[in-house]
Amino acid sequence: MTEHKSLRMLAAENPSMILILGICPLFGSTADVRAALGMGCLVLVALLASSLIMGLLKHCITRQFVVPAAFLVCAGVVSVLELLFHAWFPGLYQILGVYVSVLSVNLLLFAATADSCEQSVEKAISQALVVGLIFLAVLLSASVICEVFGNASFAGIEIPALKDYKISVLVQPGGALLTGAFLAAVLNAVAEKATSSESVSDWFASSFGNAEKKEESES
Amino acid sequence: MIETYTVKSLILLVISGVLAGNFALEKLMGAAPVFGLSRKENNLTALGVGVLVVMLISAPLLRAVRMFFLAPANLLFLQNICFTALILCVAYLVAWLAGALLKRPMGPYFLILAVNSAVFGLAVTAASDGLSLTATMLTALGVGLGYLFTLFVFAGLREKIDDFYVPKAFRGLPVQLLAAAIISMALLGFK
Repeated sequence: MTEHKSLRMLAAENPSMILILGICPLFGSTADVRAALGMGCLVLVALLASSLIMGLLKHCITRQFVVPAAFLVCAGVVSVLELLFHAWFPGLYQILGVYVSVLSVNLLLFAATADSCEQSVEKAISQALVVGLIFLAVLLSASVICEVFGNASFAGIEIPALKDYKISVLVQPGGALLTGAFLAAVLNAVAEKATSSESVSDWFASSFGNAEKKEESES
Repeated sequence: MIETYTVKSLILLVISGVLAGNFALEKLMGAAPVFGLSRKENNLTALGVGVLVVMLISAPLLRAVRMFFLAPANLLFLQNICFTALILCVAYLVAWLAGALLKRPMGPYFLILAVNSAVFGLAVTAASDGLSLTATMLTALGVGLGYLFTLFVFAGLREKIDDFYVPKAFRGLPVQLLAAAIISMALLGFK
């Protein structure tokens, strides 16, 4: 049986793990730096709030119900944040569109929330902060590359020098994936371990699959 | 609602769900579980078909819930929680049924795969675009088949990539993302 590793340990070994888990909001908002900043902050706040709530609720939740409870906590937190985001930043909300609602079932948010059941509230919060900041950094760097070279602008301000050299594929999903591939390669090069050694499904199986088995064997 | 679809447009809905409107590669929804899938996973067909069934059941169900319950009662702000809870219920039901039919459990990863952004995004877009029931079902079929296609393509790619030399920094996720970028650009041609 593999020992449970927290998401933070996994992210410390290789930050590109965060890239896999948060791929949907990440590449949904790379075409505009402002949208990326908005999405990054939204994910950071959602991570902190859902980890805090799950950390406080962990004594009321038995191990079999961690997965559904984590999904529902994430959906609740995202609903509240979506309403606030809609009211305070209507322009950004229009750009991000369905990607804000889709955060409810995001794997990064879910993984951090479910993982906070295994640790103390302070650790869960610091984990959410680390994971959220890594996500924000990766998202901002990807969106700067995509917007500057793909759209010849930065945060909506046009860069005249690059106007004739636009690589328009960078603002398409394919270009976002391409930028992500090179960013992940940079993260892989500086990390201790390649991502292939521990994939997401192995981590879920070792964290939650065994948790269910443990519960069965205890009972 | 009066159905004004021709057979051709209905077939196009399914095909575009698989190719040009592929959720995992063109909208990048639900791509995380595809990239994170372990190479040790052996019941890929069961997982993929399970996700397709979850999409086929949940898309019309969520459309009905939104249309006949949330919208008339002015409770649209509860949409995210309600949709997540219903998709979870459908996923548990499908996992249980598949476990009973196949005589082996689907494993904990099925839930992660089934409750993904593609299922959720499909329901939200179908509901907000006001698609009819037939169009919702066919879009769900197309998107589900597209998801199954993506799962198989990436399982195959992972094995193929293993046969070739890949620079150290590109091993694992980066080379998969590169492959996804190329497939995504190729699918743009179908638009």
